[in-house]
Amino acid sequence: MQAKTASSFALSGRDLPPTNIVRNDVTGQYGHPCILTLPPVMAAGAYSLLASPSSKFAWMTPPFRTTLWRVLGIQLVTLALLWLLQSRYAT
Amino acid sequence: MHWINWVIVAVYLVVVVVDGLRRTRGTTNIEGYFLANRSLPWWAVGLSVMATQLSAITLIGTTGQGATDGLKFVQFYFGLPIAMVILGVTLVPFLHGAKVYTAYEYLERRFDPKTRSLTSVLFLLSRGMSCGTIIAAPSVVLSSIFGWDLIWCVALIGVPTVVYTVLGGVQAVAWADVKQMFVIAGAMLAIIIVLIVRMPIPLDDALHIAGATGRLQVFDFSFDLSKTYTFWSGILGGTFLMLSYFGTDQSQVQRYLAARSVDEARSSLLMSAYWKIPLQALILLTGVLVFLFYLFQPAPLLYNPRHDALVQQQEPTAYASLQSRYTLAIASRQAAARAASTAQRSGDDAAVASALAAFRTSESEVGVIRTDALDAASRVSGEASRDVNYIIPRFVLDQLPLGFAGVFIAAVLAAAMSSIAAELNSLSTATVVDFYQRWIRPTASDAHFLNVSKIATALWGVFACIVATYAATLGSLIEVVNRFGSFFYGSILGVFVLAMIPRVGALGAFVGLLSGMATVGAVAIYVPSISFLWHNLIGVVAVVAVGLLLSIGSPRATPPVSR
Repeated sequence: MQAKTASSFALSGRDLPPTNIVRNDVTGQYGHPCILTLPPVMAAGAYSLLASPSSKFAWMTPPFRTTLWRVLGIQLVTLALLWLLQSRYAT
Repeated sequence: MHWINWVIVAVYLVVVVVDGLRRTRGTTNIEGYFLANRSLPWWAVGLSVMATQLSAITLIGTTGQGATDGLKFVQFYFGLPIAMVILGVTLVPFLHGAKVYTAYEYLERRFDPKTRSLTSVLFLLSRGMSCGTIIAAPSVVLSSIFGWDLIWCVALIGVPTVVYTVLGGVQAVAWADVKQMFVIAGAMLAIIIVLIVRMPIPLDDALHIAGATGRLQVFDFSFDLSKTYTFWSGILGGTFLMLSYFGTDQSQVQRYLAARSVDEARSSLLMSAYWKIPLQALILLTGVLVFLFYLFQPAPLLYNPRHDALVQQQEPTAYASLQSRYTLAIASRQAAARAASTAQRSGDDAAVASALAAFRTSESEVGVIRTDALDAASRVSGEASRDVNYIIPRFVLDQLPLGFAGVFIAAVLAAAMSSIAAELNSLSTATVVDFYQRWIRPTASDAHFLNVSKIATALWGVFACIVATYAATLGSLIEVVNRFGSFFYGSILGVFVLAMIPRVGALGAFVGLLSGMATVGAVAIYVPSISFLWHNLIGVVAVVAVGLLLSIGSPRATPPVSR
């Protein structure tokens, strides 16, 4: 693991990302392709599940729905922070 | 350790036991003893669930893992929030609505007695042994650090836990968990603050150095079944592991069965989902900070003092040679770290790259010497070194200001006690409800069952302490039982999934369960390269596939309970 990190570091220098990271042309940010597409897909899925007034989601009582939104929010913020930590410091 | 630290530990133990005794007043019947009369608020249940899952192994071992391997272990928990949401809308309403005492009781209502008894036996077998290891792990560390006999360390953790669990039942367990969670969080915060304040270089520079060693690499997106911690194993395998653990393990299920309502039970699980990943990331980051701290302080060659003394005693020449090489290597590493920090502040990218490359070389040299020392420790002690478990305790005792070490030891005891208490309570529940009441004495007074429950809790406590005392001797046996236990998790979850499919009958469930266990066992033996996190997913798929196959053409069954 350390050898791999060291060699990729030596070859690419600090400004180039590791090979499994791609650049988002819209935002100019680097990230893994899955991560770049995941948030909108997750958000759309979560919205259709949580915001739907359909009766088949009768189990989605208001307190549970509120808690669920908080869970999703905290997880996304945590993952974003970990991603930022890795992007800034892991070389 | 200073006497003030011991006073802090003693005060903590007294408060926990006295509070447990106070809770006996609300425990006059079996429902009060096992389920707190289904009266606990969601936040208390949520904290109890978190405290139960956060054992002393997590507090000591995971921080040590952060110091040596970095943050990648956090991926293990990525599936937890998903699992909690799925459980909140599926299993929790079923189990809470069924008014059962154990998760396995529901399986008899849905299928038959043998499916219930088999799943309950599997739980008792694996949890009974794991309870012993939960006591043993911190006891071994405390014994080595303080030079005490192992049996006294086991007693220090085991006796107060057994006393308050026997007397107070789930009320005492849950409310002690709440307090213990605050002690643990307080100790971790105190350590982090001390580490940041005492870091000799700016935190930003220090994190760049940690990043250069790969310790801040969190995400690994490779889809490699042989790697244990990847994004995908966490999301897929981790989800099924957490579904199995929180959905079918009585030590967890019993916590949310004690909640006031289905909504409160769901909220308590989701509370655990809120904080688990941030908390785990924080624990691992603490380990990374300890690694950075020791770049600028004389780090011990071996963190385990007993092993250090043994190597010094039995291989003095080799030890002296290792120690002199190590002293030079850590001095060189410290100089490289300071040079990297200076280069960071200069803003010259080429200088930073060169300085970090030099740091990595010196870090590799330290790693080689440490590996030689660990090999020597294993050779002379005849046991696996497990030095990683001693990094945080040594840091706390050697480096923290007066009083902090007491809080940390109290937190280690709290983490161990909260997990053990929950397990003892659930082991007693499964023994009494699934076996004593089901097969031996179906009808008796509530007072009789309450007394039997207390005796069962005490006996499981004694059993766990005996296993913990002989943990070193029984090491391989316990590991086998634990591995064996992990084979069952996915398969038991598979049975609960089958329970929600109306067409599946008792034969499909029982044969499916046996097939799932056999499949996971075969995979573990013949394809050992597949990481254990995938075993749960394989178990669930095998049980559901066989269960459905055997139920083709069966009439549609009516589930015994609905939400």
